[in-house]
Amino acid sequence: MMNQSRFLAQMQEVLEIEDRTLSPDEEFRELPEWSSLAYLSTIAMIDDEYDVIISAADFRKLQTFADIARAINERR
Amino acid sequence: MATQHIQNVTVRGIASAVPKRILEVRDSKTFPSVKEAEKFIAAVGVERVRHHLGTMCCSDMCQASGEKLMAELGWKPEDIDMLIFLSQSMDYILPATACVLHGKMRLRQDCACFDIGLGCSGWPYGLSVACGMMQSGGFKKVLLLMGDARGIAISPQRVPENESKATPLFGDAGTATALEYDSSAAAMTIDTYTDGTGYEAIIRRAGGTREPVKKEHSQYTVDEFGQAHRAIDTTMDGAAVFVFGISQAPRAVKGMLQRTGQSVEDVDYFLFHQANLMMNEQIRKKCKIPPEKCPYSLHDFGNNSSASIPLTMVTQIREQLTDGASHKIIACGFGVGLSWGTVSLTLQNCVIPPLIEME
Repeated sequence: MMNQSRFLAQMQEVLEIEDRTLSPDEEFRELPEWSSLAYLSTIAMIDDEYDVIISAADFRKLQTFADIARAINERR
Repeated sequence: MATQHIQNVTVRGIASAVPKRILEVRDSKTFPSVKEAEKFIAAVGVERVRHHLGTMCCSDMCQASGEKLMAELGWKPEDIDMLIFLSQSMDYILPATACVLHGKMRLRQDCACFDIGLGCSGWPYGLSVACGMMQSGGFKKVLLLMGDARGIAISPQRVPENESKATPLFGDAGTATALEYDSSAAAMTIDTYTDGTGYEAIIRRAGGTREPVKKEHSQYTVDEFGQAHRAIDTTMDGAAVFVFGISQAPRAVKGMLQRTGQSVEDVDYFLFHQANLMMNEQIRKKCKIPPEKCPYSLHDFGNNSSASIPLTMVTQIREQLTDGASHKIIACGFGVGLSWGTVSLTLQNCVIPPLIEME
């Protein structure tokens, strides 16, 4: 299993959020930092760090950071 | 399996033409702030693109490239046996732009001319068709013309009323690749692929027979990222294309290396379609290609669809490719379709005129 707090720290870096830590239940699409570029950076980070590529159709179903972490685990 | 082992065809020359007019991304009104523009440049890699601003079509730039190459190679119009125009920026819905070019370039009547409607996968695909047809020896001198130039604005854009505010990612260019039947040619290997289930990832919905143009197609709808699109514009599902590119391009390149018995060290240059920096770097890293073997033109020219690969050769490694030595190349184009292809070839004494800039 992947380390969830490590994953959240990686997401924080992708989203360039410095003033707070992310929680697993947060809905990432609601964050002001979420953008089409942030989306691509997220896909690239997950590919680099976990050797997993989540399809756009599958990613569309994910709501929270915990959902993304679960999707990565399922594909590893 | 769609693999061709091509004998008897040599790439004699490659030329590219672009509009003189430069659009600087930093000056673009697309971005609400300088910080946003810099963020875009850091991720996407595009600092400036060439834009025709309505003064020319893709075929004009292809014609200029083709005629320049013919002049340098000493080819006369009556020498040309086939002209292929590969583009999604045709002059008219019909006739085929290749026929229009045939007339303008005063080619012989016993000359095969037709269009191929592909985009970013164009260079490997065009070579596949041209070289495949040339195998019999029935076509000796062939012009493979390709590129794209925007007609109307490319979505998405944040400020719908002004077409000049379209996201500065795509550039305009027209290229020519001159091919000749040659029994002493080095072998070429070409792989061609398709995933039609992804046809909606990059699409211009309205204007064809499935959705003939209606008034409402010129109205804007806003997507989840707040960007406006019209059905008459080309729209792109960036994430779907990104996932496609970083999944399929490395697989295709590794497959080509394996099929041709080469390692990354054996190849002098890997030329990828210039999609965007983040995607291209991801692909390069996954293939374990060192940066010096992987030239990019996207910083100065953006994404030029099927013209990307020839344009990169002309603008980034022209001196190296024309030094008289033999150069092993693997080129991979991927995008709209979804369609992708890879070619492994050797270039030697290839004629590459400097970039043509058109008013």
